[in-house]
Amino acid sequence: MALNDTVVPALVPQIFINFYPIAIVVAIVVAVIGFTGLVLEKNDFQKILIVQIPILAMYMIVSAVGTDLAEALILPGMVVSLAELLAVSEILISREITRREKEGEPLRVLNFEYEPINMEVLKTAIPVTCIVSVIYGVILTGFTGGAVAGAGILIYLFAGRTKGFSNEFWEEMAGISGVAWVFWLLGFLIYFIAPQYWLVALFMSGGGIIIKVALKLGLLGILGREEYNR
Amino acid sequence: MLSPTETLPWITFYLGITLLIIGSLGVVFGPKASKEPIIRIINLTAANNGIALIFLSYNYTLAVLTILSVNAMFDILVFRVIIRLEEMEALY
Repeated sequence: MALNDTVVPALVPQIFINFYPIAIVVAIVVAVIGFTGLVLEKNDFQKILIVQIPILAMYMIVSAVGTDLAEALILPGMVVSLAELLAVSEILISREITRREKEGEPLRVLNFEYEPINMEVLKTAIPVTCIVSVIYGVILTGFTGGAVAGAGILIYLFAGRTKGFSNEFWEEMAGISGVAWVFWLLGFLIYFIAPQYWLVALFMSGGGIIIKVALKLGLLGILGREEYNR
Repeated sequence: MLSPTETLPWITFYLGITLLIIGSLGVVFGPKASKEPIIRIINLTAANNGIALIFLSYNYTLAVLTILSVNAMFDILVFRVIIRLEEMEALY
């Protein structure tokens, strides 16, 4: 094949080069299927679900490259698509609320009546799972560590008894998340301005991104808690 | 012959492609999918697992872990939206 010695670097294994045309063709087919569904569907909320199919096709085209660069491009894409979904769903909900208020219809609120299950494991396992995943996330550091620690916080906020922390506490945590993001940016700046301090820059950006991602995932938990415990 | 660098990526890649195409067809044209969003979400899980298998065949460890966790968070977010819209009777 002509691709072998010209375009593709020598470090890509032969099997990934053989996969490349198949992956591109399949990704185009999947994207065509997804966009067909997008054209046929009229409901806005259903469109959000169908849009995930072209996103998967995009992941496949990027991953066909077969090097670490592909992974580095895929990871932020996934997290950004999640944030995008959060924003679009908030817009859908608030649009419905404003439409109801304009027409003067009362908002119907369903009451979920349930009896809590009295089990030992539900009281003890959740804090332990949270602590273990936060510690493991801190050891991992970086993007993945932030995701692991954030998942631990999410479990605690969704399922655990949040006695000790008030809502103000979590709002302050969101402020710390913003400060951590600034540290991440400063770390990257130091890489370019003063490369001899690369170790400081590494610690600043690594520590900043773990705090930011973990607390951002915790925000999802706050959202869910305020939603169901009105 | 089963070799970890030739056969196993081959198997996971073609299995992933099959799951991805079947899952995306199910999301778009699946039975009752346009009436019930939950059926669409379940079909989307098949497509997501297909792409996770494709990442596995390319040795993208972090991408596999991230797409599995993103899939779980996606379900949480979407179910929240479904509950809110169902309360206001605005889903259909």
